[in-house]
This record gives sequence, C-alpha cells and structure tokens, in this order.
Amino acid sequence: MKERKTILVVDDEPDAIKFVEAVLNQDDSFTIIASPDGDNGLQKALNLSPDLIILDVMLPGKDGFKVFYELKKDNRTKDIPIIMLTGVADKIGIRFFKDDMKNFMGKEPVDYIEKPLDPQKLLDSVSRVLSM
Amino acid sequence: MKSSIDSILSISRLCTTPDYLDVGLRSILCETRHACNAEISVVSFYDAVINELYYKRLCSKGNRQTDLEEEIFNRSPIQTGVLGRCVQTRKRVHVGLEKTPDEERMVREEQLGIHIESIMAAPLIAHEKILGVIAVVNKCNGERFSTYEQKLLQVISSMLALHIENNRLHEEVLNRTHLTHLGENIANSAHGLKNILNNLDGGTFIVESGVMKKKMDTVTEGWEIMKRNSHRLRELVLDMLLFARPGKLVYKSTDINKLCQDLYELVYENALRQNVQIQTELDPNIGMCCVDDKGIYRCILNLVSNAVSACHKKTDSWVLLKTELVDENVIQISVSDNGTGMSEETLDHIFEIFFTTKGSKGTGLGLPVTKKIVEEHKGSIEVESRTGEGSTFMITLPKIHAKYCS
Repeated sequence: MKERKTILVVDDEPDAIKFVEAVLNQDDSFTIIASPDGDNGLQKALNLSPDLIILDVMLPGKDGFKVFYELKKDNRTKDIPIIMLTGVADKIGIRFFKDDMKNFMGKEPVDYIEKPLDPQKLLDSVSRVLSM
Repeated sequence: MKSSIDSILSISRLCTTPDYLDVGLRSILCETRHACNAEISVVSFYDAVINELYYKRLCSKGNRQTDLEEEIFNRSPIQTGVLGRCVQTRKRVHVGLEKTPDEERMVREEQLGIHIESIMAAPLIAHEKILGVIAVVNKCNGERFSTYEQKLLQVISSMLALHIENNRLHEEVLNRTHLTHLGENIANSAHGLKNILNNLDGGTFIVESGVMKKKMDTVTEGWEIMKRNSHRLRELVLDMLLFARPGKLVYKSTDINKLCQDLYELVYENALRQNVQIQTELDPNIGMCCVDDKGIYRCILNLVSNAVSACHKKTDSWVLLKTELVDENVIQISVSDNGTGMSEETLDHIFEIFFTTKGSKGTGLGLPVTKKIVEEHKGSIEVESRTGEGSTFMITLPKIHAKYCS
C-alpha cells in the first residue's frame, strides 16, 4: 500500500490554507499541516519532515524567500521539495530570487504557482513533485 | 549705476540656480533689458507642434530706473515678424527693421503701446533644438543696437536656452519618478486584491465541492470564507477611496472620551481572545471637541488594531488607550502597547502607502489613512518604538471649541 504523504502549507491566511487543503484533499489522500508564519513553518519542517512544503511568499515577519533560504541551508530540511505560492507583485522579487538561487545555491524551488490559485495547476504540480 | 557686465553676472547666477523657470524668467528679462540698454525685453517660446511662437512674458517698459512688468499672451505664426524670422533662420542675431511696418508689427506695436524703432533678437537654441527667441526693443537713447550689445544678447540667449532645457529635463525626471510610484502602488494594491480574490476562489471551490458531495458543513465552511473575504474586500476598497479622496471633513461636536469608550467596548473581547488586555485612561477634562468623528474614530481604531496585532505571540500583553488635555487648546490621543515594537528600518516606512509587515493580512493603508485624516485636522501623529518593548502612537489635535461646529 502506498504511504500517505504529508504536506506542510505555510501561509498566514487561514482561508488560503483551506483552499489548498480543499483542492488537494478531494480524495482525502494527504495529511495537510498548516502553519501561519515562517518561524513556525521552519519548526514544523524540522519536526515533522513533510514530503512537500507549499510556501507562500508574503508572510509576516520572515518572508517566504527567507524561509526558503533557511530550509535549504539546513541539512535536515534541504531535500524537501518546495512549491512557492506567489502574488503578482512578487514577480520582480522572484526574478532576483531565481538569480540568487542559481548563483549561490544552485537550487530553485520545484515550482512557482501564482495566486489566485488554479486548482488544476496546483494538483498537477503537487502530483508531479511527489512522484519524482 | 549698474553696468552691463553686472546684469550679465546676475543672469548667469539666475540661470544656474535651480528654480522654477517662471520666477527666474522675470528677473532674467529685466536684467537683459538693462544689459542691452533697451526699453523692452521679451521672450517668446516656440511651439513646434503647431509651428507658432507664443509670447509668454514681456518685461519692463520705460527707462532703467522703472521696471514695469507686463504679461502679454499672444500667438503668431513664425512666418511673420522679426522674431518669427529669427526662429526660422536660426541666425545668431537678427537686427533691424523694415522701413514700412507690416500688419503683424502694427498689431504688436499696438499691444505694447509703443512705436518700435529698433529690435534685436536671438534664437534660444539648446542641443540643436529651437526653443524660442529672446528680443530687446528700442535702445534707450534712440540709437541702433551696437555690436557689443548684439554679442551680449547672444551670450544671454545661450545661457537662457540651457536654463530652459535644464528645467524641462528636471520636470521630466520628476514626472517619471511620479509615474514609477504610481506603478508600484497599482502593483501593490493588485497584490492585496489578488489575495482576497484567491480566498474568494477558495470559498467558491469549497462550496462547489460541498454541493457535489452533498455535505452541508462543507458548503457552510466555503460560504463563511466567501462572506469573510467579501467583507475584507469592502474594507480594502473603502480604505483606498478614503486615502484617495480629497479631504472633506465633517466637523461635529464630539465627546472624544465616549468615542474611545465605544471603541473599547467593541474591540475589548476580541482582543482578549488574542490574550491582549485593553485598558483605557480617559482624561475627564477633555470635554466636547470639534472633530470629524467618523474620521477620528477610524484613526483610533486603526491604531488600536495595529497595537493588538503587535502583541501577537507575547504573554501578559496590554494595550493602553489614553486621552489627555495637554493644554487649553491641544488634545492628545495615544495608543501604547508592550508588543513587538518596530525596527528603525520599519519606522522609516510605516506611513508609506501599501507598506505592511503583517503579510497578506495588512492592507498597508491603515497608517497612511490615519496620518492623512489627522493632518486634515491640522494635527500631527508621532511614534515612539523599541524593538521587543513596544510602541506608542500619539495623535495631537488642536482643540476646536464645540461651539464652532454645528
């Protein structure tokens, strides 16, 4: 039997997390863990070793980019795939971010998904990442 | 008596001072008249779009001692007159006059109220582009303009042309910065809107899946999300409008303490659920004040909800809402908290529109709107904050006696 996968969703909007959860859990096939901010998300990533992290960029305190760096810096979390959720104004940030990633870490998030979420895109992206 | 070289010096000074062109131009024209010993000096700008000259300003008639300023606005095609030909030919200086005045000249003479005996004109050219023409009319002693004076006018025209071009470029840069800001603001507000839109989409999705699975509680959950976010959308749009509208205060005789008490009762329980204790300390001497009650209420509400958010995750958190009659004519409303406080970097930006540290929950409009309303009341807002210790926002308002408003 296939192992039940765990997905950590870091977003400060409970409603946005509910959306992600509703999309992914139509057949109740994942365990979704919600996290409201960066520090909490990092903590949960360490403790629970999820199979995938869905990370919003616009977070209070530590933003999604910073959280990404920290996850990738830590040996215990660096191999967890990350899908970034972005708003429209983050596009410029993401361009710099992508360059930074290539220059300094040779790593990129597995995928970027723009908000408002397209449920099908999210489903496709998640199943692609998890089957890798 | 002032010599020509003094006038030239003044002009060079005026041309190198960053100033609004219009203000400087008056003085430049007066000095030009002095430098060239002329009765009148005039500048015309060239409108390349319709190929016409238009007079912007005419300076000083009469002798050197009396400077009379006059403004004449007039358009003329460049095919006529000394000035027109000067622009057309781009010759350094154009001196002289035809013996029989043409129609255009007669019109101009009538406008100036003088008879034109001699005229000297120099085109204003910067970066190979013709901007207009500067001219002096009638030498004071009735003679023709000398070669020396012609050279002086050349010098003046070069300086003025560069000055005009500099001003134009400066304005262009300012406009561009403004447009960039506007673009940033639109992008930022679109971000806020998209977040809400995302939640609304989520609500719809959840309602639909609830309907499909015939699960009433899922439908209700989605419906609640939609209601919550349509409310948020309304608040965001109202704040945006509030910020964008021109200041229109409706002054009313207001009991500020009662306003604070009402607000306290509204937010107290909600804050308590977030483990934040709100306290009030209301000065009974404050009396009735003349303010826009809705505006001031909004300001205090913004500050209090910010303070409650700043206490997020801390224990033993408190927010203190305080009013005080500082002196007879000044009231102060302050909101303090022992929350997270702000770094200096954050403090530098808190009043900027769309700046927020609250992630997607903040609209970035609360403090700019608050500041705007307070300033419309001719008041001021100040902040003190220490990282880790908390913040205090102080609104200071002039106390307008209640009898002055309806």
